[in-house]
Amino acid sequence: MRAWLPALLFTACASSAPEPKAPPVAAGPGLTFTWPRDGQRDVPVRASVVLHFSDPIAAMPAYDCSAVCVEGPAGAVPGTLSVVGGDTLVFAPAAPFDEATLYRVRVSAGAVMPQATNLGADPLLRFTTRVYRPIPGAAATVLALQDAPLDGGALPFLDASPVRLIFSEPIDPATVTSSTVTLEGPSGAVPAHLSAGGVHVVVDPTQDLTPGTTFTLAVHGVRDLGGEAVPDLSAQLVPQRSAPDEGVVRQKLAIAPPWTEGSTATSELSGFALNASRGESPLIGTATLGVIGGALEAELGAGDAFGGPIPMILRRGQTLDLSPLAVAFGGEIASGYQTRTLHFTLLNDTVGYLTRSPYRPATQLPDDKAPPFIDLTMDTLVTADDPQGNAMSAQTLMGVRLLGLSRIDGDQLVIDQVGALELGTLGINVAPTALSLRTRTGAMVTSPAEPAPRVFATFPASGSKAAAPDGKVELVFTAPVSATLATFTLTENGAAVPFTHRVDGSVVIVQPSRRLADGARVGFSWSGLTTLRGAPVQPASDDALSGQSTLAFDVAPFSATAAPPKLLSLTVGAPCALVRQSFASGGACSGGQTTDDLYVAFSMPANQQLAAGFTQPMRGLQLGAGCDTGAVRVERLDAAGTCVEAVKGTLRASDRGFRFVPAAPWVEGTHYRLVLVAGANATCASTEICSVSGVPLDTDPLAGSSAGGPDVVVPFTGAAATPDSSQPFASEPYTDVNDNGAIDPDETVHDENRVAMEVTGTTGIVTSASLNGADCVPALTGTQVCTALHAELPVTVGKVLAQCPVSANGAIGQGSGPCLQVRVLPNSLLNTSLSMDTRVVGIVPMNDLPTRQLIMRVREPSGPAYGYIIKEASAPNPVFVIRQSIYLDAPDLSIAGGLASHDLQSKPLDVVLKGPVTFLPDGRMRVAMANLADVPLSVNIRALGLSGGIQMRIPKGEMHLTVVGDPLR
Amino acid sequence: MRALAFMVVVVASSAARAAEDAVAAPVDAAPVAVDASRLFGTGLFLRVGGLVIAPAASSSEVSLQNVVGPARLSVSDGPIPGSGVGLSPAYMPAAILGWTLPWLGRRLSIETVLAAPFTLKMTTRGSLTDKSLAPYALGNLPTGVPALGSELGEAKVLPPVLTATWRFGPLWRLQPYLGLGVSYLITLEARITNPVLTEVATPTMEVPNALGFVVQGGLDFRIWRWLYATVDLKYIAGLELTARVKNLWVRLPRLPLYEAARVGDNEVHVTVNPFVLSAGVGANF
Repeated sequence: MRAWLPALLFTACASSAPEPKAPPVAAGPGLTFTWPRDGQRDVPVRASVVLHFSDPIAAMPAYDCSAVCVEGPAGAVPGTLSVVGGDTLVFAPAAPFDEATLYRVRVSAGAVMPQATNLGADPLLRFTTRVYRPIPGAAATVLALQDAPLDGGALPFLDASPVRLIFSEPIDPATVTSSTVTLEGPSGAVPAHLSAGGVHVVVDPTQDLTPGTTFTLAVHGVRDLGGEAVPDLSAQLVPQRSAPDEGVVRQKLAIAPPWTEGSTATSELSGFALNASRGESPLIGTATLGVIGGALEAELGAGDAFGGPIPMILRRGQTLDLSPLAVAFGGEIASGYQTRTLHFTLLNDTVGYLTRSPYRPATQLPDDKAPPFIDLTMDTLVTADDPQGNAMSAQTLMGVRLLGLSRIDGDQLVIDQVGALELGTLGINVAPTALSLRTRTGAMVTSPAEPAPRVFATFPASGSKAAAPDGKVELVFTAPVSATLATFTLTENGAAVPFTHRVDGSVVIVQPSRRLADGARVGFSWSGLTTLRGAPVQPASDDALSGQSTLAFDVAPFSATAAPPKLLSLTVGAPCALVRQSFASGGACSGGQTTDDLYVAFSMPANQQLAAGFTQPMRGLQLGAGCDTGAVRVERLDAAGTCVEAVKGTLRASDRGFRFVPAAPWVEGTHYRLVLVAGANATCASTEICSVSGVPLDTDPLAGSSAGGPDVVVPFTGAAATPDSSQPFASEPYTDVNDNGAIDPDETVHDENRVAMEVTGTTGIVTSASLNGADCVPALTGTQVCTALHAELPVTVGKVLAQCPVSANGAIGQGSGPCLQVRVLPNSLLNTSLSMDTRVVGIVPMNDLPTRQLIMRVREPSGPAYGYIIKEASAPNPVFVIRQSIYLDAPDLSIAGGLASHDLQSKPLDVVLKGPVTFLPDGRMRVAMANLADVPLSVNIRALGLSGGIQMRIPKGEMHLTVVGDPLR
Repeated sequence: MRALAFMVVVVASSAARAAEDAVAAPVDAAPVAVDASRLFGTGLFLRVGGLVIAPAASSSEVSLQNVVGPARLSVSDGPIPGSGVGLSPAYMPAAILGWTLPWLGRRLSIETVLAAPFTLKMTTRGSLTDKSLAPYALGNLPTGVPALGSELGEAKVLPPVLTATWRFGPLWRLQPYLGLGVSYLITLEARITNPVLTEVATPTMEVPNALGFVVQGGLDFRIWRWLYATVDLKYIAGLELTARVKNLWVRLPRLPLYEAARVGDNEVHVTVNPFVLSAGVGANF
């Protein structure tokens, strides 16, 4: 008998179990990540758009708005759509996006992933590009207080949160001070780090705020980059506690894996090089900065305090190490300089959030196809280990948005993030940079010790005698510093001068609030600087100031002069009133010879700016608001050349120049006109451009030095945006500070910018000639007398040529290998007067005959003037070589009261200049050129029907032209 | 987190007893006729009463498998230190049905226990009971997962037992016996009942059937003629089970970002070895 069988007879009915609960529903195939995210603002214009999916894409979709496109106001944006890794779409625009513009990303599920359930929205996402330029006539307004990565809601303000203000247009960082942006608590002002850049202003309290307490943020007196006052703002903030009750939760986020040379690893999200920042600019070519080490310690906030999102706080001062940057012009012309390890340091506390996938319903639990999303906005510093590299590369990057996904690998959280940076390169242009980071929790990585900053360089240099009266004072440190607790003093001849200050990474920048007096002794001292983590910065005996915390220099003296101001440079046009100009031809300088070459027709790439330099400090410049108004007029013209409207933009005047930033890019093919109004007489009217002394601009110096003159009218045509970089080189140091054509007693002679000349013979009625003055080149036989040279030579750094058209010694057609093409815009070099003793027909002496100011004009006889940066194998640094024709003019040379004539007008000279390209300790680029061959000069004189001549030359190597780029910051 | 399952079963059978002619030595001096000890002389006997199962269970540590997703931030595959499972005692009505073989002097019987399938409660032990399985994610981020408490799950089992017994005596009205046999645990239904482990989803639990060996001893007391009272104790050895729980989820109340985590599967090896004590009154037929 089966024992259990009868047992069954007793079996009771089983009790009914509760209804089974099904496990949470897994997400289906679909979109898991985008960069940018929907609604993102301040997107760099050169950023790529990334769409990452959970599963392979069905097929390469067409780039068409019925399938996939990025759509701007003018329709689909031209660009390249590619599939990366089988599951990612990357759109790279052919040209930068327009700034301050709303774009839409449209994706058809049927074209990409028919089974996806989260591609139904049209558009799939929207984003707005960054605003780079001030908007004239509109003050900046606050678009966001604490940008909100949380969908549809405001970002919780945490006790550890910095206060981030996002404005509608860029803010003048010099106006962001502890008195204009304040955070007040119950105990008064809250000590905080202040930082500003672009549209971001961040107040980062030095200590965490007290949760539950009301703080008041006030903005009063801030101005935008256009100089317009930002409306006052007052906002109440009540921080919430970020940490769990159990205390702060710390996680080490280590780079995984650190980048190594030759690494081919790519980001799963974007296909970009993993743990690397890959940028491209014409100046440095394509360069990869790999993240080679370091770790970030994250504090995770309470997971249940904010309804789901988990705050992630990265404290300021933490650093990631980047691979050294080998500076190679155009990516190919080695500069001879390589930075040591670069550092990526958090300037402010960074607060981000880990949230559920924003591409899925809020109820969807995270899983492999709907991984948690992370959104961080950070402010960072880039610095270098070596002082020189630091000076060149130190910069602040505000509002860097890193988006990513987290996934679980083993028992660790792996976070992949993607971002877009705009990395400044040598202070000249910006390299759009795609950044991808992968970090992993759980690693036992020790963050590097905070380096001790010390002063590496100053600007102006200590003891300088030629500082600009409106220049900044810069202290370049070897590592990031904070000025939150610092005290600065700026004096002019012992009296205090008001100023503003800011810190750009490892550089303290002080801007006097007014123009300093010419020739003044300036003192600058400081105390209380700290590292980002609060350690005091101690002077060191081997620093650039020998352990002192003071800097002294002199503003260049400006001797009173009757000479009228002149144009020294223009980035479109030539520094003179033009004749015979049209949209097809640049014309020539008024007062020149009728046979003068015509300049190449002027054009202005969409992304470049107008700038002008003057020889003297100028009075306030009035920008025209309408056609034919103002002293500086930038006008849009119709086809007939009639003004249609004034171009909206901002005029940023400096002591001796201005820069015009149009509110919108120049439009390709559109005609414009720059007009500088000088007035026809020596009287200065309010609508004329005049010096601070009230002398109108001399616009036709070739006709002789005299105040006023015809208006400078430069017709130009808008052109497509260019990747070329503009660099405003200027001679430095230079002697003739007031550019009156003479070396005044209080001017210091500098050998770096001068031209030595010697007389080699005479002909005809001129029986003898000699130059007056000291022999400035004793090493040469004979007597050489020098004129002081002053020039501003804005250039455009272009592309690398595989086969250089000139050799390193300037020989045409003999170049070998690549070089970087640099266009030298048609501007002028001013020389001080030479004095000469001559004797005519052996008996008539003419002594102390002054040439007065000599003008050398860059010619464009057969097209633009180009120089080239070439790397010679034998030299550590590349050289700049230019073979150039110039016109030499002595417009004020008068012989025998005008009884005799001369031909020192549009006298053509051919020079070959060459010099090494180096970097100053403060990071500025410097090119110190000299002529490679003698430059003969024959001056013919005719009097009373008789003729003669003076043979002169510039000896080989004795024309010194040393130009330096603008300060990097 | 864990899950655990386990189970046991046991039930015992009772003693069979040989009706051995009323056997035994009557308590009083006068011999009792054999027929007097059986009602019908069939050799069958039946005792009706109740039993208690007292598992002397021991278990391995609960082992996690296939941990995936956010649960990996807190726990990993492998045993949970200090964890274990146990079984609660069970009480139920039962009957012992036996048949005394007509040979060997009617001392040898075979018997079984008649009982309804019953529910065996599983409990947590050790760290499972009073410590959260996953108090922190990433080492220090609170998850809010509570300790499981003592309740783990239950299994409805049918534990047929078949033993052979040998009776001694009788001594007065008492007749002791010893027996050996087998038990086969049949699991009819097993489920996790722990509220922490069932809050998000219902896990599945598998407890395989198992064979055990029974040692028993007991004592019959003749109340009157063929009417007896019996006390029986069995020990079932070698009843080893591997309980498996699959698709286990827990809620993460302090991590609403994830809300819930799939812990994966787990298993535990349980050695049940229960004692089954039964008592009843009945007759020899």
